[in-house]
Amino acid sequence: MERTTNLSKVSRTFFEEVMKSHMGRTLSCCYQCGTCSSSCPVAEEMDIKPHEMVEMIKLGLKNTLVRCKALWQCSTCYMCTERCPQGVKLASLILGMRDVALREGIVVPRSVEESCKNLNDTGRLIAPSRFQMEKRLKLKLPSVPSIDTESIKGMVNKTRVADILKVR
Amino acid sequence: MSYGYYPGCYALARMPQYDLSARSIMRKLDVEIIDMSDAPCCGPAPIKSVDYRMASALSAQVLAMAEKKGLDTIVTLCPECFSSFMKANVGLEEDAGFGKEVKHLLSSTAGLDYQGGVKVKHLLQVIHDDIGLKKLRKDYIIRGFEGLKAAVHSGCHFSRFSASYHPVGLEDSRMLDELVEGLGIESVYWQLKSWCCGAPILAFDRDLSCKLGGKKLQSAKVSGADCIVSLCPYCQMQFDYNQSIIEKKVDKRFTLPVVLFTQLLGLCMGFDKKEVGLGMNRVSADAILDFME
Repeated sequence: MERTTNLSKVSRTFFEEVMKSHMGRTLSCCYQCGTCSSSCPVAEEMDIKPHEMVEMIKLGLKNTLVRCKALWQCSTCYMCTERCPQGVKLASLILGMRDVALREGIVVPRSVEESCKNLNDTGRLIAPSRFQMEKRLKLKLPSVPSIDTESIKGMVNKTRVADILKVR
Repeated sequence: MSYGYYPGCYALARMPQYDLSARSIMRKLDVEIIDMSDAPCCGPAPIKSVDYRMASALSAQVLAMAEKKGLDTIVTLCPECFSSFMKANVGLEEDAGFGKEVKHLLSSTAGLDYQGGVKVKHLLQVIHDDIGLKKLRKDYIIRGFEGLKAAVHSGCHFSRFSASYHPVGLEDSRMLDELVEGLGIESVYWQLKSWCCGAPILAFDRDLSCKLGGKKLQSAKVSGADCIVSLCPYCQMQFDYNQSIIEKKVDKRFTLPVVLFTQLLGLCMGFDKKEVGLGMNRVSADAILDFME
């Protein structure tokens, strides 16, 4: 990761944008104690540590942040949020940063695309295969009903999920 | 009172033993359920990563469906669903602007209005709080375990206050431990108990996910546990279905049985191995049967 920054690449509006979002509104409370990073089970593998992510948002280093590997290494275990003495909802913030990364057209991990596709097609993240349906039948479990996906498709069309699926 | 039963996609599509054992024990405990398997996705992390608003609208849709059916509580098997619903309930209230957006998205696409206030429970809470461990021990449990040591894993999205906003305790909820101890099982101390299992990043970073899973399994193993007890279908998948993959990646042998709490409870309530689907666990869990009284 680049540790020097060209000032022309700094986003002056990024911090405010994030603060306005539902996921980012607790951000400004951070005082950089690093409790999040020392609690995180994957921090040692991350190119940018959780507490650094917060500071980077404050500094407007959007370009570097949305391209980092760490964004997709977060397991959303909420340990950071649980232990934060300032009540920063960091796990949600990271989910929000993924959203920003996707909006910038940076990375779409294949699994995210697949999840969106499954949701759009079946109304579930994981739909049972025929083999699993037969297995349930043998166990005398009720069959899994299919879902009316009309409302889901409507939602997809109105959100960024449509861009991921390239249906817009 | 009836609960809306929302098992979650993983229990429905990949882990029939969870659905099976849960339905078996609920029937015996006279827990009345209205099946909500026809409700759509709860709006979990992969959807939250793309569009948080849509994820919340999905959660609200399921809650609105329950509301329409006149149900005041949803019971789920999956902590991810649990956390999504709880977060939607709190988020829509707390952030009015966001709540309005989500409600508009929901009403304009699904034609549903969510008034708010549908309660959400994990099956463990129904058993632990609504029925109560005392009554459970007195009226339903007919046999127990002796000498079995378990590494209890409560699952992040269930046991962390910040993931679900329900006050079961910080970081490490004792709820599952108490249930397990009530069955005569010793809940051992293990160093990485409150750590993540690694399942959520399986699709993004397989090596890292296996590394985490390996650390957890190793920690459970050295604590002297005979098995891991879980309540989350994804943690169960990671520890059980993926154990052999993790073993290869980290070059260690664990052969540690992983059982769902519904399977353990079912066994103690008199169901046999088949009725709780023990044979469907990938790592053979037969060894724990030797500890049954």
